[in-house]
Amino acid sequence: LYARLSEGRGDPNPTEEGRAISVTEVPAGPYVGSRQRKLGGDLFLTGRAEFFNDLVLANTAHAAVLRSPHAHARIRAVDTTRAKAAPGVLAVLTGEEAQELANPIPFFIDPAVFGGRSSPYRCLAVDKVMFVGQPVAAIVAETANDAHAALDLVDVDYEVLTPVLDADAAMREGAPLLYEDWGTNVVIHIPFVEGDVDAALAGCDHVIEDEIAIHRMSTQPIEPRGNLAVWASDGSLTFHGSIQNPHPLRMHLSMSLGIPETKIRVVAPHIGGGLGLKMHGHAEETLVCVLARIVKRPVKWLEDRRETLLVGGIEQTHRFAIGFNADGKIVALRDRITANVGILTAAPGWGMAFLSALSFPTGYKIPSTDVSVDVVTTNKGIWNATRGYGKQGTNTALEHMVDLAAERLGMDKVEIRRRNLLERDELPYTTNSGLHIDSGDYHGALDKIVEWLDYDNLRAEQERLRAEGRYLGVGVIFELTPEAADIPGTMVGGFDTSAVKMDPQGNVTIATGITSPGSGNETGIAQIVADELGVPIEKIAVVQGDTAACPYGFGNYSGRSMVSGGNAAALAARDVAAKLRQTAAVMLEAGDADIQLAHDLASVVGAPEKAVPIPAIANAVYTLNFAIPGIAEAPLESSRVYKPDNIRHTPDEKGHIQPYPTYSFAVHAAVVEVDVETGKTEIKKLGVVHDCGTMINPTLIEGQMAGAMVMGIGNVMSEELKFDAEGRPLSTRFKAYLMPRAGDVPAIEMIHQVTPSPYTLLGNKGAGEAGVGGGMALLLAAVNDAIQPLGAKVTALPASPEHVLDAIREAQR
Amino acid sequence: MITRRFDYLAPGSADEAVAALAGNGETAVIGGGTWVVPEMTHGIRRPARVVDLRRAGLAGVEAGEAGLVVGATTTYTELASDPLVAERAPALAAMAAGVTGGAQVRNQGTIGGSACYATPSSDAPGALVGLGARMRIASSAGTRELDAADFFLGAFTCALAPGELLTAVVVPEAPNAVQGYYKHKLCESSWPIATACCSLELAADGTVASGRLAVGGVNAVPYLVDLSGLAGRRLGSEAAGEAAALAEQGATDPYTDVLASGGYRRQIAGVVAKRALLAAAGREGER
Repeated sequence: LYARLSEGRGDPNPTEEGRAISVTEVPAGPYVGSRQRKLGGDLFLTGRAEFFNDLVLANTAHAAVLRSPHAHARIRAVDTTRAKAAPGVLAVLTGEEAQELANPIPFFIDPAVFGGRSSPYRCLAVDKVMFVGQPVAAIVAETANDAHAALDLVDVDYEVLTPVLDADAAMREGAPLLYEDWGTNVVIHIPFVEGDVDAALAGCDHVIEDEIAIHRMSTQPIEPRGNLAVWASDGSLTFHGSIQNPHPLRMHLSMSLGIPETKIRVVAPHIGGGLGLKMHGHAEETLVCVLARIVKRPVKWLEDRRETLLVGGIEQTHRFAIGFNADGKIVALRDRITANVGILTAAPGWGMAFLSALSFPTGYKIPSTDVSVDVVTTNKGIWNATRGYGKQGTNTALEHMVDLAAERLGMDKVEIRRRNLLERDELPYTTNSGLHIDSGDYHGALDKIVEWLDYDNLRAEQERLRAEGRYLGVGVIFELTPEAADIPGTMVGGFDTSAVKMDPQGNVTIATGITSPGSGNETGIAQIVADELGVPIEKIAVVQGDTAACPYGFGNYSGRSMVSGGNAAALAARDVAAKLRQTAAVMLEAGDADIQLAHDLASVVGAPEKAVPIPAIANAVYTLNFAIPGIAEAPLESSRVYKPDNIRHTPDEKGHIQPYPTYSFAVHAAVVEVDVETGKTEIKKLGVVHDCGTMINPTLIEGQMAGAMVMGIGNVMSEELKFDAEGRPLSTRFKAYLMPRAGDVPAIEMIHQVTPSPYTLLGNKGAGEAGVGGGMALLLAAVNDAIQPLGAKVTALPASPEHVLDAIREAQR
Repeated sequence: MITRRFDYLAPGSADEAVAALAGNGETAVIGGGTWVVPEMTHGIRRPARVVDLRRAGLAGVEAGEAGLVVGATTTYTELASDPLVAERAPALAAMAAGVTGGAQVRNQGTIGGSACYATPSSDAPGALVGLGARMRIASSAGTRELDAADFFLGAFTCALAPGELLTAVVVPEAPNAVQGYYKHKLCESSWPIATACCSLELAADGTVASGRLAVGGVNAVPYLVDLSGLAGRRLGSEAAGEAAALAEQGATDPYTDVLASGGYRRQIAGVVAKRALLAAAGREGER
């Protein structure tokens, strides 16, 4: 019966007997670990992939947002009369009106969950504005042009208040208060204390007290944000947006709009970069839905680059004391971190400050640590998540401290790391803040980078060039990146769901709760499933970013996608594979024999001539379920959740939880040359040894690492959100916010090391965030290494030519 | 986005262009529009009328009696690839080839547009002053010429009176000169922070007969550095260093913007001057 069927259906590999047994002409597995090309990559390369703004719906009206010109002011009155009369204008909405139509926007991560202060965040300001750029009113018009043109015609009467822009100033007695009912500008103070640090510092051979100030920067995906809300006649809402987290956003829209989640569909098309910026909690998400409800038409809002540049992050100052002995062993660390988060929005940005403190002391074994962070609100704009999510602050500050210790001791900077980094056999290891590092080989990575650099000769060359007045800098730094978080009581989820569905022709659809910001996780998931099912990857389609089509999931952040969604897909595929094996055994009359799935064939292990094509199995399951007793039940579908091990939310005896299942790490190296006459740094050589456990696709991992490193390098070298004394942003375009271009960064040597995680199904760890902190720490280290012989060091980022030259001139004074 | 309606005129000749300048409200003249259009997009500038010179026949380079006549709407790409410019004003070619923004901006941006926009963060003003260019200006009253050194009055301010149009820059030919151009910028995407452009007449024995050097980007307008001390000397590090000291002294009122403070610009004024001189001497890379 089967043989006739397969002949009739044009089996791809027929033999004389009608049995398909040839395996030489089908794609060879395994896919996991191979450099598979990105699925649909040709569409992206040739400009045919469709993004948010390619979606054009009939009858769409367009929104523009009126933003505060003041950093701190009371709104006395808003008069919309003139704007309403402007050409094309359909509706004008004020904060007063909006608060009647929408609830506050729920927090992605509410500080109140952690005992901090909180305040309702609304889509339009009501009584008070607290940063330049805060939405005050919105206009819907026939065209985007009409909407933007009418913004000037909204008359707002402000009572200007004194702004506070600096975190230290905001913490002082008598500082202007943003949230007057708080009685303070501090959201929360979070301490992590282990041991008696004062006593430990007192007993050290050396103590360095200093500070390192990390400036305000931003994430700038090439595609800005955009939202489009469509209400149907039955009161249901479809929300299209360039967003990272469709399901969590659905809940937040439900809560702010007061309708059940069953009435909301959230769709995210291809995203031109996310980087944390497109995690939700922004005013404009709820806002477009309210506007669309008012005008009873689809309403679209597309972000302008000036608006994208309003969103910052990271700004934090570390005031530290690091104690160490003559043998290079670091024994104590105190760090008081002050983070300037701007105002508190519903987006998850502020939480980065928490992570900056939690992540100390990364992979170093420092017995006594006392690290705390003050999360401070100011009138300096807003934060959202930036790739690295605070851990780049930790890595940058800590690596700087380690280099300072080496310089004080006259010890080699690689050697001091060797003496303080955890040994392979010390892992798994619980850090002072309660993080449980899964696995790693930090010393192996150091050895590999030293070999690649030809380190000893490089140092000799550096000495030789110094004699000629040329200042080469060598940076070698360690980066630990806790990834794939689950934070209790928030929409930061560490698990995810994937469904694998094989159709009657043997093609496979994977629907998953994780989304792709362009990183290629759809390809990685397809590789996993292709191996589990033994089907060619060309037969697999991946569906993401649609709450109507995908199982519940948390989307994209925290390097989580392959850890959660990838392993969930493996589990689901194994369920389907079991059905294929069961059915194949019946069809091949193989009894209890083991069946292997490969090359689109199911065959008996040890008897490869006994084989049946997988499409024929699929066909049998769907069409011969009554005819052939014992074959698997239809459909060939499974939906599975993957919860990684190594997450612990029950506080230990110190009150610590362990929210990160995986700890990718890297050792980065750079050779730079600083032009000591201008302060400009030229990067001559970049390399990294990266270890994220099992690699699903090295090419995609390298892409993520290169992007992350360059992002970190840009953050340290040239990217800075600047403000004038009144809190007006000065970095309003790409000629003022300078991101690296191809000519600024040399090719990056990628060296892989694989230390699988014992706590994830495939042994993989997060890949995607690692590299930002590394790039930042690396360039600071290399620049300071270059100018060290001049007695100079940069302690306030960015390490821009001006700051470097200032440091040199300061040292010469 | 540009939200305000405006009249768009594309005159077919210089005379028509001059005529198009008349009228009420602000007129924005564009060559390639690389400065003005972003300002209109950002709502910083809302002209009633845009006069686009692309069709006015003002592009191209030709040899004239007083030197190379470079039409005001000659693009950077044209300057960088023109054999006459390469031969007779190599610093101008070097300047044009290095304009930030990539091929799109170099294909679009024009030498005259950048001169009239007069931003300190541009290559063109300093290069024109350094080469001793003459600015050819047309109006309904006729034409006049002005030294480039007198053309730039302040940040974003040039000497064009209402109703006047820059039609060409005339770059004097210097057959026995060597030229150098050096630009300091923060990174690839950065506008120039400080520039220096020099042209030196050499005597038969290779010593400097006379020279001219302008520093751009440091003060709000380019300034000339007195090179008389180089006369009769070979151009080496020592001579260049002396000129650098004078260049730094010339930074009397350095310009501050979001990319760099005036203090930083003053500190590197001498550095760019020295490097331009060394480039002219064929000794790039020396410090």
